[in-house]
Amino acid sequence: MKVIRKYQYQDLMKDDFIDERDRRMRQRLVKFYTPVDLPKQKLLLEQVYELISQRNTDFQSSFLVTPPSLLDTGNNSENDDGAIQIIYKNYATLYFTFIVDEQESELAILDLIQTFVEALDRCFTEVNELDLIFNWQTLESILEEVIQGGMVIETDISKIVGSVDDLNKASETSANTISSGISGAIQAFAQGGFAQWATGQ
Amino acid sequence: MTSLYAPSAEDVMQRLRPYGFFFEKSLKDLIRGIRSHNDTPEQLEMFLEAQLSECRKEANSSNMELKTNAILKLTYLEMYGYDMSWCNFHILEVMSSNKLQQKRVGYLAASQSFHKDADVLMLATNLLKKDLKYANSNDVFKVGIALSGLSTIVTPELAKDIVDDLFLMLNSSRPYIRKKTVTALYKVFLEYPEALQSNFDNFTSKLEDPDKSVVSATISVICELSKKNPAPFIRLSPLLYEILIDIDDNWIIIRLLKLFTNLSKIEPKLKGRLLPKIIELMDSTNAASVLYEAVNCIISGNMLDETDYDVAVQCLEILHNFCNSQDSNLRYISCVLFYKIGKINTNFISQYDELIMKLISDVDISIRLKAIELLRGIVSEDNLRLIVSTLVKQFVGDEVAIVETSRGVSKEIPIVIPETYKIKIVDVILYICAMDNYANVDDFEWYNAVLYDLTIVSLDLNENKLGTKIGEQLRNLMIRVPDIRNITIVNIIKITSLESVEIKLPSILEGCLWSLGEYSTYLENGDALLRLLLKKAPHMQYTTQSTTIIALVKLFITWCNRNQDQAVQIKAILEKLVNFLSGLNYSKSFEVQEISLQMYEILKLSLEALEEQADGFPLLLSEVIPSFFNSYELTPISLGTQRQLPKGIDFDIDLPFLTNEQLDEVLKGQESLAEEDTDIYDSDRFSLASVEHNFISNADYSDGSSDSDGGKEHFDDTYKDFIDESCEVEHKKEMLSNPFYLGNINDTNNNNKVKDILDIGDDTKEDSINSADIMKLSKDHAELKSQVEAKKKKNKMKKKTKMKVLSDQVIVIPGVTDSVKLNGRKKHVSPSNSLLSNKINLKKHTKLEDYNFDNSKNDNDEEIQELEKLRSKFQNQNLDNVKMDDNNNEEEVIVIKKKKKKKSKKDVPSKKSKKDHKSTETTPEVSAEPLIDNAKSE
Repeated sequence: MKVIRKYQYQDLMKDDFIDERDRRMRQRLVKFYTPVDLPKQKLLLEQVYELISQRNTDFQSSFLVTPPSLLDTGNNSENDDGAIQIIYKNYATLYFTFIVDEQESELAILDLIQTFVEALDRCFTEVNELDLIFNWQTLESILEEVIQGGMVIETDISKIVGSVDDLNKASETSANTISSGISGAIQAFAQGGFAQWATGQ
Repeated sequence: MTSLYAPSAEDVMQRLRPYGFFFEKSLKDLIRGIRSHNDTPEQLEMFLEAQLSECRKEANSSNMELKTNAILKLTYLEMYGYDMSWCNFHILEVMSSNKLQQKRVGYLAASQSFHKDADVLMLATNLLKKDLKYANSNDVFKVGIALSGLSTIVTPELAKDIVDDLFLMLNSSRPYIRKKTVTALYKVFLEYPEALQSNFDNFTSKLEDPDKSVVSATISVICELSKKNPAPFIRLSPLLYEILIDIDDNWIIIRLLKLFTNLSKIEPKLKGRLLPKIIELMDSTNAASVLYEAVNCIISGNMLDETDYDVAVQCLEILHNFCNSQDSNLRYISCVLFYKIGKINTNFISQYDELIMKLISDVDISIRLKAIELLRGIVSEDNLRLIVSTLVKQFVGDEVAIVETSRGVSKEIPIVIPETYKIKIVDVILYICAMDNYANVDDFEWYNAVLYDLTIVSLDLNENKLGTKIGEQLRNLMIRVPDIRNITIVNIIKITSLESVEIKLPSILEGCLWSLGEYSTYLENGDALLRLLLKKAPHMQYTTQSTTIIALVKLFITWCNRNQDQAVQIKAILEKLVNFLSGLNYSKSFEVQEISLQMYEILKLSLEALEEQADGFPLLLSEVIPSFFNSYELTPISLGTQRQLPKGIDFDIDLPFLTNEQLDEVLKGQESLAEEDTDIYDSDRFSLASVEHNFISNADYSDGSSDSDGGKEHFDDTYKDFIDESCEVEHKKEMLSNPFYLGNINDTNNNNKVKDILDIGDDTKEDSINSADIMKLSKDHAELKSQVEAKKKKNKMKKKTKMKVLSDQVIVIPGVTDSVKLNGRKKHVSPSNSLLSNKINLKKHTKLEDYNFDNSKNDNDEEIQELEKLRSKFQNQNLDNVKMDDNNNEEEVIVIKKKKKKKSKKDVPSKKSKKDHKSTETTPEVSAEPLIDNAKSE
């Protein structure tokens, strides 16, 4: 799961990847763009999973109409467009779930999920759940090219994949050039005074 | 699908190790470990704990690789709920690594764990400033990472420090950097709105950026900002309008429509320009998502007035098509918009009754849930029955099965009807039937039957609110539709006698019991009902019990007065009653205790009187107690009337309620009464009445309340027993301005009503007797059937004439405004809001919302003044805090230095060409189903 859009508020994003085999939730990627305490995060995930798993994606819409009790969706406020929405899409055994505010278009978020999945597919070539399980860090880096701090920054799949590739290449290069003196570099690492202080604790 | 863009094996390999292959193994090992220890939660937890302590050791290691590795694993484990803020300083260390992949890990971890740690955030500021500079082409990525990180961990201080650097980067030659900067600036503006004000043009010039991604990001940011504070962006409207005309990217169009929605809400003049363009867009686009957002923009942007029938029809036609689509997502969101249009003017949607009827039987319950809200827009006298029967059938649940799956094979999947939906159904049925004072109900026998069905359904729904609502409906029917009181009361008896209704749906009883008591004159065999209630009452809730006590007394009084000759039975029942009340004298509920005590004392006296007075019927039972309840007929009044009663009006407390003559009369009948608390007030009314001989059979004043406010009416039930100031005032007033009843008007009424019952035929009487018997036998199905048959018979004969429904009386009390009642109502709302505080609120309040872009000058003045104050304060403290000051200075110096550096190195050679090669388009394909519509920027 992941993402959610919006920035700020909640934009929590989360994708929940849910393992259907034993009906227990297994999250593959969770990302919140609005700070939420860990215990509440966990509870929220469980509630969202519970609600989504009761639905039948064959004929039900991708919108979670009954919000989890934990979430203040703003539905009670006087203007009803202050609402938080939970939008999900099901691919095989995975559910990609976004929790977004009303500034996001419902259909556009569904497209965004599709974009994200296509980007994953492009990166992994025929992505499957195992890929996602073992390449969590790849998910994170792809997501980072799609959503930054809760805002969607790119919806063009080629650009997304391109950025991921570039970044990886640059990482490797820098690793190779500097890693010759790896042990020395570590010792010399203490450039910031605070770093010294932190290790010294 | 692989062959389509055929990446080399090397390419793929490379993509899969974004944080460097060095770490891959150990994170993979961790994931593998999690999978192999996943049999039980306990096993998993043990494994994770072991891993955590290992990570803790590794994080403390001086080996950077090991440390980074540990941080990466911890970041992963956070997903499992393990807090990692304890290692924030280690994260900071990793972030400051020279190596890009270590830096990536550090920033990733920071974005998850820094947000609450003020100390670390302060330290991170310097690091961020450093990382946001680039010296060579490789630094593009370093800067990119830092910008992403900044977007998640920005604080007001950080925002202030960093904003100048960011504005410089807006001019970077790399679109990648520009779009990330634009997005990062959004978070900065939230924390530090002044930056937006002083660089407004600089920032908004990015709307004209040659790169589409940058434009898109800028529009997104402005859209978000305008949600919080639309005013400053109004002047961008012409430019945004141009973009809307020129652009062909659906994603951007949707964002623009959202943005215009925000602007149009505060600037109605935009409508004239925008609306034609949006309608044009609706005609020209094929994308459902754009169509939908266009309609949404018109509605949410307040561009649809009550009178804009043309536009409304155009929007509704689009939604109509969506609602008929196979795509449940389209159907759902269209339903929501339908509702919003209906809220603007119900007439817009009233012709779509067919569609809405179809939607309330949609396969997707969530769509039904929305469609059902629309019913109030289309309901009429003609279709009410159809709607209600459609909805009631859904309770049965086996209607459930027919579903076609998308794969061409039709499968039968039972539709699960969730409880929330059932509750909603009951709620909506009650609402649409009762709306406009029952304007759509042409047959109240039918409505009674519906209420009975709803009660049966609600028994299993576990939602007390429904009971209250149904109870209120029954009570309303009793009060407002006098012509069918004898039918309604049978229904109420049936409901009250349902097995375990007092446990499963206790809230319904309050309305029921009140009605039974108040209209006890309609009942022939009150004794049977009394016995039943006495049996049920001990199991009731406290609130119901206090209503029950009064109802019991009313029932008893009515019944015994009608059967004065049956002294033995009366005594038996009275003894039971007294027994029952004495049991409640020790109730845990104060309210119950108080009422039961009062009634207990009075009834005990009556019992004694009955025993002493073998020859006649005691005055206490025949006159005094009835006068408590029967002095006035209740009529509905509008909500809040009671609250408008003026308070603190003077009245003469010394004026005796009874003249000596009257007193003698009372005493003549029952001497023992005089000393006790025979509510003087009521006796007064009784005697006044008999003095004036003013018989009026139809009361037209209002008494207290009888309207739908539960608590209020409970008050009505009981108020006669208390000499309460406001009651007193109210009644005095009534006496002055209104005709009133005599104490024994009751008898005349009785005669009429008994006649009524006889007129209608024997079966009514039988019904009530049957029902009463049923209670005793606790439900005999054969009996029930006979009742239903009797009912059917009646239905056939029913006359089509519309029954008279009493409507609320509006009583205007001079000098009291409506605001009183509004205030009263608002108070009810607030507690539910405060309950929400425990929940996760994803909407954070930011400074931007409060920031006033116009008044900034004044703000600045104030700020300067404040600053001056602070300065002088600091000067005083200076001597004590020399050290601190030094620190501050140091920091400032650093800031200045950095700014200089930034400016000096304007630009960087780009890797643009390389990137462009990479991003040549290939047709993407995915294992999953195709989208309804593409709003992507491809």
